[in-house]
Amino acid sequence: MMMWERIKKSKQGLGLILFILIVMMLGIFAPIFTPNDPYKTNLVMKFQAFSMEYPLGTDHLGRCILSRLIYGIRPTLFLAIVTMVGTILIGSLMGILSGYFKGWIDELIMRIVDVMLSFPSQIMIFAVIALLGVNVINVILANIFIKWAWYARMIRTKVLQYREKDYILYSRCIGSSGWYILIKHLIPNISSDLVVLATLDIGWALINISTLSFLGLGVQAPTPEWGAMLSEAKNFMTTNPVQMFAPGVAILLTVSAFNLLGDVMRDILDPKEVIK
Amino acid sequence: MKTPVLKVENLFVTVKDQSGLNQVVKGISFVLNKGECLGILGESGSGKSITMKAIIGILDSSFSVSGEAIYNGKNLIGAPQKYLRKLRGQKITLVMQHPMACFDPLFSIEKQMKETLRTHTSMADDEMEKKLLDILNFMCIRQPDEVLKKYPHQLSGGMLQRVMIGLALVMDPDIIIADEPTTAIDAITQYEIIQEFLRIKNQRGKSIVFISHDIGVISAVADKVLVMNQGCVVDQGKLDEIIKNASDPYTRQLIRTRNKITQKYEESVKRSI
Amino acid sequence: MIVYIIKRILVSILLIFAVTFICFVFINMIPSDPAEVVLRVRQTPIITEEAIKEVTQALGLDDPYFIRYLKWLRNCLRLDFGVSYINPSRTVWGEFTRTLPDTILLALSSLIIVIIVSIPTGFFCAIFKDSLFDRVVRILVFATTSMPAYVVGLLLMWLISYRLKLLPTSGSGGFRHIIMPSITIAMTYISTYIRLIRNNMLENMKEDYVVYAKVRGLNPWRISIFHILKNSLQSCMVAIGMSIPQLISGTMVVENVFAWPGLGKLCIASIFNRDYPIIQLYILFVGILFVLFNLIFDILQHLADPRIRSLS
Repeated sequence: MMMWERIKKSKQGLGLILFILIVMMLGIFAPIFTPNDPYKTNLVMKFQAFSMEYPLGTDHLGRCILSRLIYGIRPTLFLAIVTMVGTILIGSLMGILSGYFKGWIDELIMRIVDVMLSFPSQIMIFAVIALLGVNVINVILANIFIKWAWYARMIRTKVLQYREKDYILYSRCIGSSGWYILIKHLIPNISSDLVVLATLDIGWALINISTLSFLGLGVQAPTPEWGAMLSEAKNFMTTNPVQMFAPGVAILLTVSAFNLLGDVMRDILDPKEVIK
Repeated sequence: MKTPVLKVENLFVTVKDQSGLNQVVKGISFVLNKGECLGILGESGSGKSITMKAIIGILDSSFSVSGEAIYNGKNLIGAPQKYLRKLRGQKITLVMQHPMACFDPLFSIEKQMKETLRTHTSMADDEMEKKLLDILNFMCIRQPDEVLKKYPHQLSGGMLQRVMIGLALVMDPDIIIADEPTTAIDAITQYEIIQEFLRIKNQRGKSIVFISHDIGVISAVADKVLVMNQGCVVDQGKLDEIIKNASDPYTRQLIRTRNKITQKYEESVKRSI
Repeated sequence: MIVYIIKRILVSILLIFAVTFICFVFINMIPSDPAEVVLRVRQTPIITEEAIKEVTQALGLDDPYFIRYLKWLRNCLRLDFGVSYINPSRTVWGEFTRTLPDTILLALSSLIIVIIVSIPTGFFCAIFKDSLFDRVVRILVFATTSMPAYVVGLLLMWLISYRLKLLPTSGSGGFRHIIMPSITIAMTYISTYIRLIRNNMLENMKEDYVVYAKVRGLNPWRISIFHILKNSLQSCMVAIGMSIPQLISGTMVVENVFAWPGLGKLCIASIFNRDYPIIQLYILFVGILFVLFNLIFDILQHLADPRIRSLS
């Protein structure tokens, strides 16, 4: 909670959080904010320029680009968040298991982590998708699969650090159970590091998911998703560049916002280490 | 007979960091005479090595220096880097504290020594080699040709310290500054290194500034002592005079602590007999 | 030292076996029956139970798992990886060797751009730390980490090919075709390496040997180039070496953006077509590449560092 107090003082941090919240709200309440149905095709109205009815014009099927952009927040951003939540859950679980029990459990988990970290992540994603088939859920699974090991290792180190701290020894002395101690003391201690890392990695997940969708391996065509929209727009680059710029700029802005926020939070937490 | 080689007048050093401006050296003045060894005594953080680094101009831009340091009729403070660079390693040399960390690990001793010579002179390769072997011989290094071919990590701290002192001597400088040269090495080597400095002073007649926090080491080499505390000179003069009647409470404390340690040592020696 | 190298080679061989085993498990985990697939590949009109049984026996698919692994491994050593499921007239190895040169060409030209740009930039950023140049580069470095390669590629394509009409949009052919894809790939790596070299040099600058070099009166440029940069590159060497297999595997996305007929494009197409033997070979290839480059650069670093060289 101390972290939140400090972020409140940083104008940059607050601005970024505000921006991200606005984007999320737009996504959640998409039907309210969109002028048109994102799926409704109208071939007569294709490649329209800016107008009151279509603020960003229309695409090759006469669909409203702005509406598709706003609806696109849903899969793009929320899939990234789901990915990160899944990654953190699995990573934390493995890291805590490993750091708390030590012994052979630790050995086993850490060896798996080593293998995961040494293998090229991009190839792992493609291997998982190739194996499981082209599907959104598989994209998320693949992303969690290659990322959890980072979190497991980080959390294990933290657990080992905090294990030896006085108050954990103290609570062990007064006889509280192991898990109780962990939840009570460890989680608040780890959470600030976790939030920073997760914020930076949401940007990473967003890039990954949209890239896969762009390649046609993730979210499929009629669904408005920024990567998929770019893939469609690619063919009409000459005639209708707006169709490409809109999702492109949206991705850049959103990813930058998360990365900047992660950076701001890291500086707040640890002013000494400005550059990672 | 006493001719000053270095005259420092009112030297101030200020460092700028996160907490703002911080004065670390507060108006120091002293004179170093030819053939004399000046000891600078003080705890770590008292500003003694920063003073010397300021004089030869190797502090980075976060430090600002004012005052005078007259060498050879010229003020070194604020002198152009090009001029200072010519002096460093040739006319004014420095022996540093951590011999193990002072050489580039990727180059052999020979390369690094020759690199220094080449910077200041236009000697031929074999001439340089002869000169290096001579100086290493003078430093009592056995098999100097072997040592030259070695990489820094292959030599001991004491050996590297000798190499560093040799390199400080090889250009026949006017002033040698020794910045805690005995702190990072073991007691026996420490004694030997002190003997080297005495030899340099007596045989070669060099002017030496010897920085240390160890009153015992200082008493062995220095003719004249400067006691520094928190950036100021608190006592100055001959060492035995200072020990007899120190004017500053800090100096007195230094001496008392030392006496206590010697006492304890003598007692324990007696008891063990 | 020799003991170390031999040890390292043995470990690498073990790792390569592990990689082959993973690839073998991979092809056996696919949801379709390989016998059925083979029949479909042979364009057998009606696939009956008997036919499947026959093929299963003929291919030894009912052998124990480990025996099948050994057989598969033997075929791999003979560079026999089977035929493409989609186009049975083409062997997997043939498809692979057909597309590999293009990918290597692309990865190599990207690597050259990365080295030419990032070493001097990182160097000057460290030397002139906090100057205008350093700050601008740091902002650019930050910006590129927020840019997915495919977005950069598309923007470049639009600007340079359509607007300025300077370079061809896609495909391969001459020197002009390779410029945009390699710049796009290089983009993501350049920022990483600028940061790596800059921070490593700043670390080195704090070392005593740099102070002592100044004390010896050396020229500051000489100190920066011969001592600080050399030491930094020494410690970045493994990272730079490991970027080669990463570049080769990282061409996948960009190849698809620019329709570059390399391995990555083949692999994505194979994922769509469920052409598993090709995907398998690709994973095998990248896995072995990683192990080998890790080995080579680890040994090279050991040979280049006098501290480690004289150990053992």
